[in-house]
Amino acid sequence: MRNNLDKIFDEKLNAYSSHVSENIWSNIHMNLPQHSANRNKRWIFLLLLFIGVSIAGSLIYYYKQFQNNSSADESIVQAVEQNFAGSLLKPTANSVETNIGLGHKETVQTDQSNHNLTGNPVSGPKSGRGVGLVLGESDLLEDRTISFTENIDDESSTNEQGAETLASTIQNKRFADKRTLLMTPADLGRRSTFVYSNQTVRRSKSKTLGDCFEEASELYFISFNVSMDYPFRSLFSANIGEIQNYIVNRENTESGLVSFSAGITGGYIHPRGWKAETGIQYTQLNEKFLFVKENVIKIQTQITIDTMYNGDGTYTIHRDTTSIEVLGFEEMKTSNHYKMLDIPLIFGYNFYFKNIGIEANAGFIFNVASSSSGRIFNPDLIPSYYGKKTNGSFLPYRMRFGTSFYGSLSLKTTIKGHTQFYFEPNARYYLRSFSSSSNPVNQKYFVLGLSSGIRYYF
Amino acid sequence: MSEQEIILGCLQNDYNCQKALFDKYSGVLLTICRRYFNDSSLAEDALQDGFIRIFNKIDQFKFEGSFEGWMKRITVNICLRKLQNENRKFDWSEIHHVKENAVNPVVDSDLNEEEILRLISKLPNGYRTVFNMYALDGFSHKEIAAKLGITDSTSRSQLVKARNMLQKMILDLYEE
Repeated sequence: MRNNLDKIFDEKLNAYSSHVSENIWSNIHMNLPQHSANRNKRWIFLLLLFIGVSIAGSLIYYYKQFQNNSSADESIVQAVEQNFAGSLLKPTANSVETNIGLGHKETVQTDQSNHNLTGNPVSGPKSGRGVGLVLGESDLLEDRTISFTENIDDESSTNEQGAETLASTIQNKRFADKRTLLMTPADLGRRSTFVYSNQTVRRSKSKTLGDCFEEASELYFISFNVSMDYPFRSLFSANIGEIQNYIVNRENTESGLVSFSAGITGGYIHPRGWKAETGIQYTQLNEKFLFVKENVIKIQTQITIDTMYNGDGTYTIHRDTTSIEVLGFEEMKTSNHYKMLDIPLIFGYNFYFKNIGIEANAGFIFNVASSSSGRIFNPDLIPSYYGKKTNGSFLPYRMRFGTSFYGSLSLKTTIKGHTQFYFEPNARYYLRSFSSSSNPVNQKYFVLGLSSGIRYYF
Repeated sequence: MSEQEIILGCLQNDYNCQKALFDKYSGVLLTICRRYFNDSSLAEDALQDGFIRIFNKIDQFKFEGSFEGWMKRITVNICLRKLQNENRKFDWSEIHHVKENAVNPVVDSDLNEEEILRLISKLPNGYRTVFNMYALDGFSHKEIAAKLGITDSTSRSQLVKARNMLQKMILDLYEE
């Protein structure tokens, strides 16, 4: 039974409105599903679009780098064989024995694709009779490797002049085109002293209570994230005077490429906004090695077959073999990769502004395993492979790249229920040099990245 | 914006409607929370959790009865749940067989709302909870007993003790 005191208290307090602090609304809104259904769909679309672009971009880069790596590795001898296999010699129209002269393996390149070598003819010792085509470019081998000289009445009378004219025309055109492509090492890599490295990821927190405030005071989450990164590298040494030339050559031949990282993490968020997070993450830093070696000589061999008809209706086949030395340059292009398996340990703090959640993060990323592969100058300034292709002969980098410091600022929004989507500009600084004792310079990395991901709260 | 428009907007997770609902009712609901907690930060936490529950469950409101009453009931339940989660120790000291009309309180209607809230906050947890539930939120002793896990008689005795204590505090206020 209610008495007078109850009634008066009830009347007084029933409609009484207490003063409410502004930050209460911020905290509430942070934990609510936002936006209309259409807006949710838009976020999902943007999320899928971003993830798709990220994956496609990574695959394209990786594929291109893989291609470059493979092409630089081909045997020159093999390239010559392939060229002739597809040439006009193959049909053996006149059943002529085919002789192919090969030059020194390191200097000769009769390449079909023609992107490694070019140059000018410097000499052309002829042998035999007939027409020798002086070809400056291997494309010509495919088109006009063999010139047929027909001589019906007079064995010495051939259409050699016409053939030479044709060859000259093609040759001039080819070399005219080629000159525009000639490059020197100096043209190629005038880049910054710093190269790049890769990045990381972080995720963020925010509590999404929903119905679960009974348990009340803490939230757990799991995050998936992908990050596009760009590495910035620095080379330095205590004995800078002695290896200045080495550092300059490294900087002129190496440059950063878009890199990436991806991971899965879990964490805990205190209702006051503090967050702790850890998980596992894969990181790959990419760089490009591009070096042009000048004054490379290749030797090309052309075979000319003459069919001369005799007066009695028979004919004679003559073969003319010509070797040509071509001076040019060789382009060495390789993708360098630094791959890491990491364990991040990140701490953060959450707050809310309007309908956007903001999370500041900082922490360390511990490297568990690392590997590197690619090609750089060795201390003798010779381009050398390292990693899988070296059998351990050249090991310029450590087996583990060590701990790095991580910082980020995450912007997030609720897309549905307990699920959030976030963008996270981030920076990662590697505390240790990547270099091993066999590397004359210290090599450190600073990585800027933009990660995105999804976080689900339990 | 009418209350119905606000509710419909909240059903669509519209930010402006959610904010409007909060602006309109947060003060009243905070008063409820302050009655149950003598710590203002705990009261604000309860209000926060209450609104989250309201927004998440608003699709369950069938437009039958008072929307404000529905929100108040949710808020009270949140307060009770938080009190239990906080593991607060209630003073269930028994005064059995006390008649409800044993107290004949004298209340000065000139007491303002803040003074009343201050008096309530001075009650021990057990007294305050039962007094709030019975006198101000309309629970029966049976309902109180079920929700708090006590007997009906304990609920009645707590209520009497709360009233006596409040009466004494009011008299002390006069004497000052």
